[in-house]
Amino acid sequence: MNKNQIQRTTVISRVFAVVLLAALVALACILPPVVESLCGTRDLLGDRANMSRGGEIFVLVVAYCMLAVAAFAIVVLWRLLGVISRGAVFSDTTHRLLNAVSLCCFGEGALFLSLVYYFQLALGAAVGICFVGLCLLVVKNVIEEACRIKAENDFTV
Amino acid sequence: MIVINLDVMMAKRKMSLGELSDRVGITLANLSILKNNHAKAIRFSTLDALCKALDCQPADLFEFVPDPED
Repeated sequence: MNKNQIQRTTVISRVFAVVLLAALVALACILPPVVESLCGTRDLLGDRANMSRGGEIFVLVVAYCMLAVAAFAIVVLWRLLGVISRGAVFSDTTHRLLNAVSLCCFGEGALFLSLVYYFQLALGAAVGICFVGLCLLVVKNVIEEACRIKAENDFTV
Repeated sequence: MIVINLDVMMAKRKMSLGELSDRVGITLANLSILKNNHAKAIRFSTLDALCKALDCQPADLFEFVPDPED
């Protein structure tokens, strides 16, 4: 893969990041009615019926927290794409950014877990997103070791 | 830690870094890394070339200095 191809894929990733961020902003604007309808269809999902107003507010607050964490993760990924396009992949910045994204995933997993009382499907989502966070953590460890090997190689005369 | 006395040997042989770089066949940047004790490893081929260029033994180039915390 040559530099132009890498630049092209980085640009595509950046476009996806922008589109996703725009979608999150749009979702934040229409979240209250979405949460209201979701809480209303809970019987169809086989979850606990007759959710109280307090429960709906709790779900709305958690949903906004999730959007905030997701937006932060996208911003961090944008910075990571910037690092890749500059050719500085094997640096401390890369594994710090990967660590941040994996922590965001674990945070989202925890937020999903908080909704399990109201939506059983949230447990599956929590496990899935924690798995993604674990994968990113392993990738971070791989990059750290790669940085160490590269530094040793760079300083081998 | 291992200290490299490259500058001492270069002074003894009255050789500049550029001249040594040409004789040994490694870049000035890499020689600077070696001279300033930033190197993490040295290839035997490089050591061989250095000893030939400076007409010395490997022991003339390296010195073991205990770490301050030891």
